[in-house]
Amino acid sequence: MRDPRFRAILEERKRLLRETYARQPGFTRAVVEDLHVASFHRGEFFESEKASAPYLLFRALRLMWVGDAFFAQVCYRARMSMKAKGIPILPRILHKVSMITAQMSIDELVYMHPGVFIAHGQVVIGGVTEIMSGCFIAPWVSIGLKSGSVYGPTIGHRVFVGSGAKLLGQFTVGDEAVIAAQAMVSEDVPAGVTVAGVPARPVRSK
Amino acid sequence: MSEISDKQMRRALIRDLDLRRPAFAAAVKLDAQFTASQRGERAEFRSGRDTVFQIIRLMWVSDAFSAHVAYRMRTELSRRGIPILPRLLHRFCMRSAQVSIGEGVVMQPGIYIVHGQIVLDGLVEIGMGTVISPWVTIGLRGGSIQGPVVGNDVHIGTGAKIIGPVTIGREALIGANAVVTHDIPERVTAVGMPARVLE
Repeated sequence: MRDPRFRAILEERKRLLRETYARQPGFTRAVVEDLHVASFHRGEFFESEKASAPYLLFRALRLMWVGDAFFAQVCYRARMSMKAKGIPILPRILHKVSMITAQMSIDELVYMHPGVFIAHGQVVIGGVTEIMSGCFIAPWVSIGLKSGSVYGPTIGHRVFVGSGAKLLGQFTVGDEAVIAAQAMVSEDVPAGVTVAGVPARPVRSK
Repeated sequence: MSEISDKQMRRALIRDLDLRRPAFAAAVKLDAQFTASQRGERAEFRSGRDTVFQIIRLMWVSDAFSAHVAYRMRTELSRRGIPILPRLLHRFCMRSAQVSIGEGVVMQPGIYIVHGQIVLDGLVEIGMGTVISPWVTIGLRGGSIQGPVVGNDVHIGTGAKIIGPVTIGREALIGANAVVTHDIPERVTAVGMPARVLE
């Protein structure tokens, strides 16, 4: 460790990891919220607040069977709750499983609120990124970093991220915004606005 | 003058490519050093044992790096004429990080694949110090097997597509979701669809 810059970066990473682990949602709550949102988007709506525990378990297992992405997402939730408890090796294996089943590569610094729907998988999410509940993430999406910083975007509630969109850098996406397919976003998006293109420009607002 | 068959042409081509490819151990060491430095980790390996330990650690923590090492092993084995195993290693690349690299690709040592999810095919050459982000395609346009030549220290952004017989100059920056179909000079930033050079 000759270079003091590396030491500073490592210390910073450790601190950020500790913070992220401390705020991770509980495994059961996260999976139930994810199940609720995923069922809603798949057109299989049911009232998960009133459902009994065995019925919820049945719904979750069924969705894990029929949806690759949900299976991978449950693996991700299990991995993060294990990481927060300091369990070794198993989280890394769960990460490999979620890569194999749905090509879902989510970094440990990401804070994904309970209740996010990932449509098919094939997503890369990295950096100190926050994703609020109710978001829809289509395939081939990257949410992450520009080189030279570890801070990624903060994505508001019920944002729709279209297929192939890239959200890179430190900025905020407002609630209920729509990111069109193949858009390249690196600046703030106000709430309720639709952005499209490379680089993304607003095309419509509510 | 006797006719040269397609098979002979192909063999000559593969031999030529094999000669241009780096040796396994040196290439993996440089890849590991470059990957570690790009990940913000210690990039100076103290000894041979430390190097091996760091390579195994990187393979454990990074899907893309394990695929990268599998790819290096695959090219080494196919150069030595070993059957079957190279194909299995390719399957491993696909399973672990969806890294699909064709047989005509020459990767110089010291390349960082960020997460995986890349397709490289055709007669492609990638220079040292190149960073390849996810969802990148470096490949062919119909009608030719000559792919892009990417210079040293090029940064290829997320989702960029570089297609056809083009040359990317050294230290160029290809923006996210750019589609490159023309030559890009040295030390410039190219963005958009089709890609144009930013002033």
